[in-house]
Amino acid sequence: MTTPRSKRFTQTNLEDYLACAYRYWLAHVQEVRCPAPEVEPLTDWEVQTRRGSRFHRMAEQVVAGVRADLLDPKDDAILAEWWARFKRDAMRGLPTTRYAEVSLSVPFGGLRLAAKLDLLAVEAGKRLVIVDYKTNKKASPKSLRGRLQTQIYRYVVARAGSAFTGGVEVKPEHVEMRYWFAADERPSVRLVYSQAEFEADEAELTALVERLRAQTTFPKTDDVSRCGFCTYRSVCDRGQAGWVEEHDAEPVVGWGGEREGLFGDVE
Amino acid sequence: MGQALVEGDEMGWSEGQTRLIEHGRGGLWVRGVAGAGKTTAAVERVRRLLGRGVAGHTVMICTPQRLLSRPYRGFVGGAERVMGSDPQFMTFGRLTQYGVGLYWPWVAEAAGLPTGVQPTFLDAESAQWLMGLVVAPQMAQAGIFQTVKLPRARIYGQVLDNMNKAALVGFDVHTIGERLSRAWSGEVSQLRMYEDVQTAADLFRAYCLETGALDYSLTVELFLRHVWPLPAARAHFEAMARHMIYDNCEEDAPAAHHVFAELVGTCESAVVMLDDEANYRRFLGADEQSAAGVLAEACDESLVLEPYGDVEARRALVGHFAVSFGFERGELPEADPFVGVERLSARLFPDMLDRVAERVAAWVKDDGVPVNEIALVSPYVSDGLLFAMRYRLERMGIETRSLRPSRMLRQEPVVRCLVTLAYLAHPAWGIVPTVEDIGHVLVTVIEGLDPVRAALLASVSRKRFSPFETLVAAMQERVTLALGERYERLRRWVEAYQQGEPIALDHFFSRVYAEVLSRRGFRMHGDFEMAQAVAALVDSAASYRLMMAALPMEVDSAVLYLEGLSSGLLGQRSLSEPDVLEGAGVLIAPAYTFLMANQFVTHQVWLDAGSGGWTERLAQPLAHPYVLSAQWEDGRVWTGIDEGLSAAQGAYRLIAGLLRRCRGTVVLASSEYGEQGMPQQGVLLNAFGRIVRRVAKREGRKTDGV
Repeated sequence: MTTPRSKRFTQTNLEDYLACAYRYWLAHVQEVRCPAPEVEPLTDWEVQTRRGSRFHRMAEQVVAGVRADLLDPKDDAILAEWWARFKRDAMRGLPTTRYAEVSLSVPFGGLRLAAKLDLLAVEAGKRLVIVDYKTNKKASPKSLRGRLQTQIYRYVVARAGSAFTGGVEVKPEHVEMRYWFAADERPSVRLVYSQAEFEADEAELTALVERLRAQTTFPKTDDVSRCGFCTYRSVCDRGQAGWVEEHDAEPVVGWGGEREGLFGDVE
Repeated sequence: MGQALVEGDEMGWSEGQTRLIEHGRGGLWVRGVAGAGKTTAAVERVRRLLGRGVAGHTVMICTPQRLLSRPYRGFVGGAERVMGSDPQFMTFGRLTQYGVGLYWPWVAEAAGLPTGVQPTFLDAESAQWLMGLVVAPQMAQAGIFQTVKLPRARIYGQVLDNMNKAALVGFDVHTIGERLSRAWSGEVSQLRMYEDVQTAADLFRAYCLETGALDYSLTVELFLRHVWPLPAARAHFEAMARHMIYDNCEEDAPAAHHVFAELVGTCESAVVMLDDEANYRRFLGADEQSAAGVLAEACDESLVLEPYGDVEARRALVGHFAVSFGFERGELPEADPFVGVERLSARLFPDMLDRVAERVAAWVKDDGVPVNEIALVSPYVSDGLLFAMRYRLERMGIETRSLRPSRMLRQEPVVRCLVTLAYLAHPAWGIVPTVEDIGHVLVTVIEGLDPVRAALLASVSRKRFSPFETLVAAMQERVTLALGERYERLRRWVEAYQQGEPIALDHFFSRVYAEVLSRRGFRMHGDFEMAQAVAALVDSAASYRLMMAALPMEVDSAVLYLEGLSSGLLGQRSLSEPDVLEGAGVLIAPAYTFLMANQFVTHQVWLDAGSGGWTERLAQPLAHPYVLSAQWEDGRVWTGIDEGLSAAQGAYRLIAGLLRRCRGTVVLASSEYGEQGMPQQGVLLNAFGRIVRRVAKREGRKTDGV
């Protein structure tokens, strides 16, 4: 088997595949967990991911009807700063019909191509704005346009977004991706979509998935600088954990989508 | 309720199934035994709903536990589904935790809980542990539970079970002891135990309310009192459930029935399904009578699905068992009930396992039956039974897989090894590992080191990691320099660690794994099974640390965690094989777990059919699934007749459930002496014997007994 056990192509598994075929195979085909530190210092990483996760949950609470000021964090000054910024401008200019933590997917390459969005703001027949909250300072605005995340999210929303418009047709021109930065004052990055980009994304993603499916072996990457942020580095006997300041991953957010993450085995 | 006739479908759906699939607006109440095709039709319904443009995020698929949503997940995750948003999978537990978390600011304020802090949700293990911390002083000072001869984990677990039932059934958590006492007719000393149960429950609830720690019972109560009545919350949940599927509702408790019934009343369409003669999760508060009352009432139409493809003989055997257990009188089924039934008996338990392995091998190798079509079920699956059965089958080249609810982390050799390493690395804790423990560490982690040399190394290191170079030359030679170098890498890592500040225990495990134990020259290098066990340990220690950090407890978290782990109060994480139901192999599972996974197979073997476990209720001297249920008349006394009836009913349902999930042969395998060497002649075999005699009598034959 070469495809993900989850039967879904996602930003995460395709990014892993591009970074290192062996990492992809271990993490997504074999679903092997490796309990090594992702980065060091572990405590800083933990604080950062927990803060990011809590921020995303607070944003979801607002969409569910909780007043934002009721959520003002009193126990974390950095989060309070992020939250003040959120209240000031995260929702500015967005259509008022909003869905938090939505999961969309389309049949693709024999499986499904899936996107899990922080927020989708909808004005049927006019605009569908995908909002992604970035809580990591490392995310560079310039690199965002070329990100696999941008490609997949806009493409999937263009194809499947009519689930949120009451069936009104969605054209690529209606779709916009907006990266909003919690950790500093950078303005949002807005990436409007087009038919040409849609077609190019479809071709690129198709080629990527075909390449993946045709793969018979999953070699380790030659770029060992990537191994510092890979928990499988000890499996490959490659180096030590990288530093948190150099890591650009976003925290994995519990409670959302299929509502699996946070609750673990709660039944 | 209206009845509508619908023509059968060209795809082979029965008339009833077609009605379920094509049901329009309002609620449809569906019941039928396992194998009637309810779930298959409901999956088709989801397919058609999405296919005609219903938005996935407005479809809620509710099941009492995640495993039961597997057929729906298979479809939703598949490529044949149309593009769109994904349906929501929901259990009542998930709904309550999601709701309380989402609307926490309002909940905390309304319930008088600490505001300005995040809720701390406790899983079963954490709740049990915290209860221990809260109740232990009372056990020491006031002597509560001093007459109870049970491990502490089981005492706390039963108190928590009672609290959960209070929330799920809807009675005051402060009346648990009274209710149990009023139903008790035995020795008076038991009443003291019920008082202790109430004391423990009260202490724990008070602690949770003071700190904002939310166990399952408090989460449910908060949800029902403060989230569900909120207009914003109700609107949010109603938007998620414009179309509902609620499958196996008989395995949920009354609180879930009330909440989901209200959603049925507001959604565009709902199909609510009940398995007749199931209710296997009664010990968790599942209540089929509540389901049949509340949910059927919320629906506009009803439907009964008859089983299809059900062989007459199987139906006959189920009918005979019903008579044997005293539930049905009158006409016995005419068909031969023993078609597709085999008896396999042996004198000793290992001989029975040998014969079972031979029978399975004949199915696989002679008849070409796929291994996934065979299940071996037993009331309990001990480590010993699992190992013995696996060993026999795998020696014959037959793959196996097991489905067991949970396993203690401390039973994993690699976990024991990491715990010893933690003690070695933290001498300030004052716990010195034994020479045997160190030997175990060395042989478990160092590639190529045998137990003899590991014991030697451990003994000369005198309970500490002495440098290899300090060993006498003859000893170094015996161990070999290559292995000595590996030993030194580990020793130096521990030494270097001791020079710095101690770190969180989960971080310690993670680092020693990454920096030494999983590297080349160590056994964990490339061993993904060990990696899974270490990952579970890291998760358990981390979740414990974060819980303790969130609560006002001034205790040394790491040492307490390790004590909890070794006592079995902590570390009850599931180490189940990933996707076990997707994998290939003969399935080995406890009978109830098999039923709750809703698996249908060609052949079943009922291992240890003579065991009393087939009919015995889970021993819970501090709890009571019947007395603490909505159907129990408060104040009535639980009698021996009640006990006998409930045991017979449980046994009948278990057997009927298994038979209905078997398309081919059922083998009743037993031995004269059980796994522990005791003589075996349980109720199941007696009931089967009565059927044999009854049928023989009807046919005018004599029997030699069973």
